[in-house]
Amino acid sequence: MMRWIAPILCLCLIPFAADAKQLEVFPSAITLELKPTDFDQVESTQGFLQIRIDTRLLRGSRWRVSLELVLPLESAGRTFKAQALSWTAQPPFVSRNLLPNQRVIVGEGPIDGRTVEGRLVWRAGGGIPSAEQFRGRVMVILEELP
Amino acid sequence: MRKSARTRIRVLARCRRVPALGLLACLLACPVDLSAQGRVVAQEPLDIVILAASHLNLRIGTSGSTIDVVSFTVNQLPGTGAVAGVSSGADPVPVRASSTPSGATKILTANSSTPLTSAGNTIPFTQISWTGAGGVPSGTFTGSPSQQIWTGTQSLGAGAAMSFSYANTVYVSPGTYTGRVTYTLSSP
Repeated sequence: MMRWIAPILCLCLIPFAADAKQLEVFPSAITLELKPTDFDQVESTQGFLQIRIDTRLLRGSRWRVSLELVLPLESAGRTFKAQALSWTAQPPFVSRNLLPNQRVIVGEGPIDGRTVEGRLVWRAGGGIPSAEQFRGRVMVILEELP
Repeated sequence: MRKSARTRIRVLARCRRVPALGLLACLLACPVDLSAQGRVVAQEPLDIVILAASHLNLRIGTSGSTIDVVSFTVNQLPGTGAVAGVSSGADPVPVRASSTPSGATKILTANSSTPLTSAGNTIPFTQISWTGAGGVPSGTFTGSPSQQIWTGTQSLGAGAAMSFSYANTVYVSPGTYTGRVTYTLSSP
């Protein structure tokens, strides 16, 4: 009898285990609008990104979340400067800006079984000489540190 | 033939050294603190869209909600010469016009259809002219609701300005006459 209970229990737990994720990001896309407020000033709307890390599903001593621009922000051959895209955040996440061809650390903390949640408030800076739509992709990367 | 074979051998020998040198270089370049190296366990994509809307900017006179007043103090007989105006803001009155996209055609118009009034008496805006600078052409108000003042694809920036004057060619009843001209920037 006991021989059957364990496999059945395992089968029941598999769907729950599959649902659990170490890293969750919401939403999967953000849109920032640049509006000139005066002749030399541009104002950006804000974009919100929620990050959730379940450290129960991690090994090692520390976690680290980084961002990497994997598809540059482009429009008809023109590129929007990665550095002009920045975010503000509360600890354990940090306020920074994107960098081209470089992984930027967003936050780091201990793997202690707790769930870590944070919000990055995005803004775009600089000026755009023409009415365009720049599209790009950032990868949110979760690492375990030994 | 022999020479080329020797060369090939030499090249191969050099190639063999490359991995060893590369490994050495890598070891030297590696940071000492190996605990900083992490193992990627999850990745989530985030798409980013940046929109820049089409926009027109216009400023005549002082920035913000202030409406500049250009005053003409007439203490000479009609027909004895024009009277220069004095602005409550910067003088001459600065004009700035720009657009996003920057090369768009822009049209600056003025509505001077409502004459200046004082206790039931009027002075038509056709009595008022301006001298343009920095790309703004000179002209005289026509009293129409959409008189074209300027058009262009470039921007009107530093140096663009207007100096106003009152023709003083007709007799009018004494008084303080006030009126307003409204400028509009549009793009077809």
